[in-house]
Amino acid sequence: MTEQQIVKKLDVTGEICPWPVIFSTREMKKMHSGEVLEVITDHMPSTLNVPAAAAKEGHTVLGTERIDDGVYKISIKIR
Amino acid sequence: MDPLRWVAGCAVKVDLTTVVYPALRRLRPTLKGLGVTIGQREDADIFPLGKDEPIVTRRIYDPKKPSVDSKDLKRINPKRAISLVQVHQRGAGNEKTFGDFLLSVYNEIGKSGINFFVGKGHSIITAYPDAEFTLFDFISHKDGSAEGWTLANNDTIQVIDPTLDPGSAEQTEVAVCNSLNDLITLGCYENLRLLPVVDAPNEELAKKVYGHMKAFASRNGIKMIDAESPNKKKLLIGATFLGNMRKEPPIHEENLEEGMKVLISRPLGDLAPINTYLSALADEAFMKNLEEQGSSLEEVQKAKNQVIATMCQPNIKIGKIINQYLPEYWEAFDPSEHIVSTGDVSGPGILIFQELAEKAKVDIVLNKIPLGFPKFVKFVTEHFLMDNATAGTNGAVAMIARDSIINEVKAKLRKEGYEPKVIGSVLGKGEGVLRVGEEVRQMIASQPQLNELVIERK
Repeated sequence: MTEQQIVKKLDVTGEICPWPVIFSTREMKKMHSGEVLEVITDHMPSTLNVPAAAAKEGHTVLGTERIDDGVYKISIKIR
Repeated sequence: MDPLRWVAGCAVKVDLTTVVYPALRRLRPTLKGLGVTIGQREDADIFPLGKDEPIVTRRIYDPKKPSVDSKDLKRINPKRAISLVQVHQRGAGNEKTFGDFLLSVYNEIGKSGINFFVGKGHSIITAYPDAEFTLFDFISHKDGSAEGWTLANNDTIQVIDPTLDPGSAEQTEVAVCNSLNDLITLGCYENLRLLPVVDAPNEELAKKVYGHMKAFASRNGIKMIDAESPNKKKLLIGATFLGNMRKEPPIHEENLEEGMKVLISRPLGDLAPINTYLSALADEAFMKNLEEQGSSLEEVQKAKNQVIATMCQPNIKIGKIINQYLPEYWEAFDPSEHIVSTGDVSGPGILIFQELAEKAKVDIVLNKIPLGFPKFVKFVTEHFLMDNATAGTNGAVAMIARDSIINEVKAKLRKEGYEPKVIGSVLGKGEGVLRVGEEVRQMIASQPQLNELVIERK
């Protein structure tokens, strides 16, 4: 039997740099190993900055996908 | 709204490299057919100064349902325009949606049958879908004999320091100085006029901002011209500036030659202390990182206050010094007497030299990039808090000229209290690249922006 994965959503739509990175970093600090953080953003530069900030902390960036016009979901697995 | 969430400095600009330029490249032929010619990127629009002052008429259109009065535009009969567009961030992320946004308004303007040139455009993003607008300062001027040049530019910010009262004088002064800086950069400081762009969540705050702007204008001998502003109830402070000059502006890129020196009026990285301070206030993890780096909140606050005090000062003295090294109106450029090229380092940071190198097909090297607060620049870059920490607001002015000219300019700037630094040189004709050292990785976090540079190990 596989353990159910905990997925947490963080909606930072409407936020501009540096806030998506600040809020995502704060959320990642609170989470446990193996959990997944899904960051929803509509600020294009954050689709680069948030994954880069996550990777720097050693988390695994699972991917970034467009979920609506101008809206993106970044999935990060916590180390 | 939590005031901390207002956005500091120039962080609200639509990305030039990936969005604005590609959109304009695609739209240029269509716009031409609509009677609208879009100029190349310059620090300011430059057009002949006649006997009569040009007439500036502001019009604001809603991009969702642009109601353009053709008779009104025919009556204005503009020759050119300065544009300011505010677009919701969902549409500002790619060139297609941004281009379509622009086209919705230009299609309506095109129906009036007028022909004009957009000499300077400024594009900013908003977090609010209902706060989009397009603003045009249409400029009408007579043809005939000219006695110099008129320069025009628009720039805006939300706030410079989200931890300060948005109604404080500093917020307005930095915003206005930032709009003026592009004219100063070109050596233009005479007969300065400003048309305010002020929007605020309430009337009281808007009045305060107008009041500070009026005081700033009066203190600096600038004429303030009444003009309507977008009434979206979201904070926005800036201006369209016009000024005159009776010399030839320093736009002689074709004369860049091997050995010429690159000078900046002061070290870069003004926005780093502000963003470091914000992050430390907002989250204890950043505070802890800051302390681990050996800095205290008091130290970063002091640095932040210092950069804001600097950014509140208009760089008019720099404009006057540049002006001394320009050819008289209609006289030929002489590299042994004149500054070849200048640039406002504020918006693009050091990428301004990459743009120049590409445009002039020369290679430029930056040997040392001086920073006001290197450890805070490193901090915001390492934590991805800023894409490009060499960018600023009302920032340093760059000048390129032969060694002898640069030495004179440097001495004059120093006498006026600036901290000029020679940061590099022109390598000569080449592929049009900017060469920098590895240390740039501690200043620029954005990979697309790093990709624009040739990074060399030293």
